[in-house]
Amino acid sequence: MRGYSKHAVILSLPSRPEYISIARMSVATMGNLAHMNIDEIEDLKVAISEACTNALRYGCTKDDHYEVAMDLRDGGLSIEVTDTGEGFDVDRIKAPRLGEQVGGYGIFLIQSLMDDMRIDSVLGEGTSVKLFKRPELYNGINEPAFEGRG
Amino acid sequence: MLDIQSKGNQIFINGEVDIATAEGFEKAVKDLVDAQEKVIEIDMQQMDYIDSTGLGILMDINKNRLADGQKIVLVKPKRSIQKLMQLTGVDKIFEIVK
Repeated sequence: MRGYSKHAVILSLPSRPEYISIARMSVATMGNLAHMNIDEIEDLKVAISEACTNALRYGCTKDDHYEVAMDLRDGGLSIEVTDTGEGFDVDRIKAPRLGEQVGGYGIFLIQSLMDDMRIDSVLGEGTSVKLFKRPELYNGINEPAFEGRG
Repeated sequence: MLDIQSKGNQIFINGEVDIATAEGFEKAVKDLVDAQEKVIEIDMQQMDYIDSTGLGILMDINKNRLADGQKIVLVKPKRSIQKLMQLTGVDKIFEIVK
């Protein structure tokens, strides 16, 4: 998502659990600006929260920061959560056994709730999780629907 | 932000359950399980949000902590939370009062 539009919002969050709610609140506002409905905004909140939780659990040390970038583009909302942690082998991600296993649902939920998801991870360098969602009532206009508001 | 109140066999959840608040949520549910309540009702009417961390806690307790004859009932979760329960299969494990 590098090469942000003029609508991009970029947060640098401390790698502590209590700050994830800031990402949720921010993405709710961005979803509203992208003309998403309440259900779609709830999906965004879950997806960004799962991505941030993974950054905390697997990406960052306690005193790190990680970055959350949100951008209104292509008629929807792009989100990128980037950490500079250890990274991991993306091919080791497995689909969860629904209703049976106790954990491991985060990536699955993101995939289920977003239109698109991509994970780039480099061992020793960090991980970037890219998400995209377009509102159901996408107006076909490439610029964000709120373009031109005061 | 999460506020948890217990009354008898019921737990009333107000706020968001995520990685930041999961510990308190887990303790509240486990306390009632350990108190040998037969039916543990988790009132979710005021629960704004729960993520996979919170759902994982419920699944873990159900799998590893409940005694024979004990069960957890989830009461009136919001539509967005019901959706997550369906996606993860939680709705097949617990009785959900809608």
